[in-house]
Amino acid sequence: MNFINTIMTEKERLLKALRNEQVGRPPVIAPGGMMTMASKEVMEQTNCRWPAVHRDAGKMATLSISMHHETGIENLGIPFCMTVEAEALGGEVEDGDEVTEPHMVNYPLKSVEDWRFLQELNPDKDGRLPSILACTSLLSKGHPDIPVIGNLVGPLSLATSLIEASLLFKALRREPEEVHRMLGFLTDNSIRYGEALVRNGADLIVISDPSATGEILGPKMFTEFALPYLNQMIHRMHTLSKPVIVHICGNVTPVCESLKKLDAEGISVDSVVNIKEMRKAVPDKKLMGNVSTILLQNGPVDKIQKVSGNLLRSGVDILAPACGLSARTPVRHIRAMTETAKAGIQ
Amino acid sequence: MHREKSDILQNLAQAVIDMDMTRARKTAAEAINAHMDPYEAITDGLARGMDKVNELFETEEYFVPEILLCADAMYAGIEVLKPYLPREAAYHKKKVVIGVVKGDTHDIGKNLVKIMLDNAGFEIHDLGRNVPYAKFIDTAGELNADLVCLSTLMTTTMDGMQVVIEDMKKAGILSRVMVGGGPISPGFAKNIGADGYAKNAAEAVKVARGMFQGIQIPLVIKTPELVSIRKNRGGMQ
Repeated sequence: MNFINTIMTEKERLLKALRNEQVGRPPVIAPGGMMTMASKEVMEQTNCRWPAVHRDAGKMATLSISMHHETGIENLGIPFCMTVEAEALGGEVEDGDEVTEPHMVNYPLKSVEDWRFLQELNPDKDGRLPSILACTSLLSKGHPDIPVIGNLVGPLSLATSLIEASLLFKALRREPEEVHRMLGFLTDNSIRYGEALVRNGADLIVISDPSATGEILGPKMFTEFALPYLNQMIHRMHTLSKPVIVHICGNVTPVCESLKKLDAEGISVDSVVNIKEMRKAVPDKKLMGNVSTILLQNGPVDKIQKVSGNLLRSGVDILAPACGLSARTPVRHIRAMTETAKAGIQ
Repeated sequence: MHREKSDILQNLAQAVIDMDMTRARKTAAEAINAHMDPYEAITDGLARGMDKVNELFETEEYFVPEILLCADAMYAGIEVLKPYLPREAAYHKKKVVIGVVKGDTHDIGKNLVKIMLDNAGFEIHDLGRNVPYAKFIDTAGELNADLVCLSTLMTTTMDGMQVVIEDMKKAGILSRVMVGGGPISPGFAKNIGADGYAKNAAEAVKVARGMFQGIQIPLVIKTPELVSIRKNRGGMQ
């Protein structure tokens, strides 16, 4: 077991874990994107601070690498928000401050039909996408042994960044066909961006779909409007030989049956989800999660260690914060999680 | 006549449950034509339908898209009945200031709570989303609000709730505070000094009602004007 630990790179460990191969102990990651991988403490150490970092590929890379080195998290993950696709498609973003991540402030679409006015996405040109691609390339070339995660927003969540959520949710029933056309358009564009991430060195893809929760949609709507588009994205990434993890927020119990039909290697879940029960519900998926984001921020250290240890014993395949990191999380709290993972299952 | 009235109330409730705006409008017009009390049409018809929707939400038969459409049907019916209502005696209602704290623009949960509280007879002042901390405090102070509802869906903006609560205390504002949203737990709510926590919109109504227990919160207040309308129209019951 120790032998495996010493010769395996972080990249090998994560990819093997997703391929269902022996890894000795689960990797511990924080994917980036919606599941942010940043801490103010590290921003101050490196002088790579939010919000300036969000539009600077070099600073973004420095912050990501320093996070990896300081916290023991076994991946590199950018960006630090979930707004890059929506911004590139014409949404208005406010960059936030040193602890608040960029967020949408203005929805460009006033009705679902308006998707027709959206321009096709050009990842090499639009919004911050070129910086993210440049940063991905820097990270990948400079650190071949560390997995670089490409982050995508799921089509339904991307839609709720472009149009007010209540309008979209009502349209699911009132004009389902138009919503399908819109989601189809968004999926095609996200795939194009995903392909560009892979070309620039992303080793795997994490799709976060926080608006597509079972709690919001229920099983029927999830199966009709979330599942098929997520699978389209996953299938395309698979043809590029990249594994995919899908993160769904909130309680997923209502949609467990649908999750069986999700073709991703891994499913990442929120802290409300019980890993043992989830394992029974979706036995074939690698499960990632789910140390409470707020526990990581507030501590104490011994509770973080206890929760992390319990998760490892519950059979989690990848240890990770449930919903990424709050920027206020102290480095020693993150280390409490990563060191517990690295000590192996006790 | 009596039979017709109970049918109309039942149809109003059903139109809400069925998310049918057209039927809610049509049935509301029937209620007016049948000289029914417009208040009753709302409280025992439309609002009763919404209570049932609330139950369906709790038992996971309905989810967010359904709730939003049911609320649309309820409001469509209310729009038809409104001109026949005398001016509302708003001063009897508990005032609620609601908003999504700064840094977060997800307002679907907040909108649901707003719909549910409105339906439960609270007077709602919606500040929208991405609301600066000071705006909550200023509005609560100006209105002498009974309750401030803070919502966030993002862990990164949770701390803002505590700032709002502390600043309200410093400013001497006595409004009670209820918090909720995806990442919020009852423990967190307690730690930051909130008076209440609600897991979802259905629970928010229970928590808010609990806070003001013993105080009747009717949807609208019956006033003498209505009695005279009723008498003039005749034919009631």
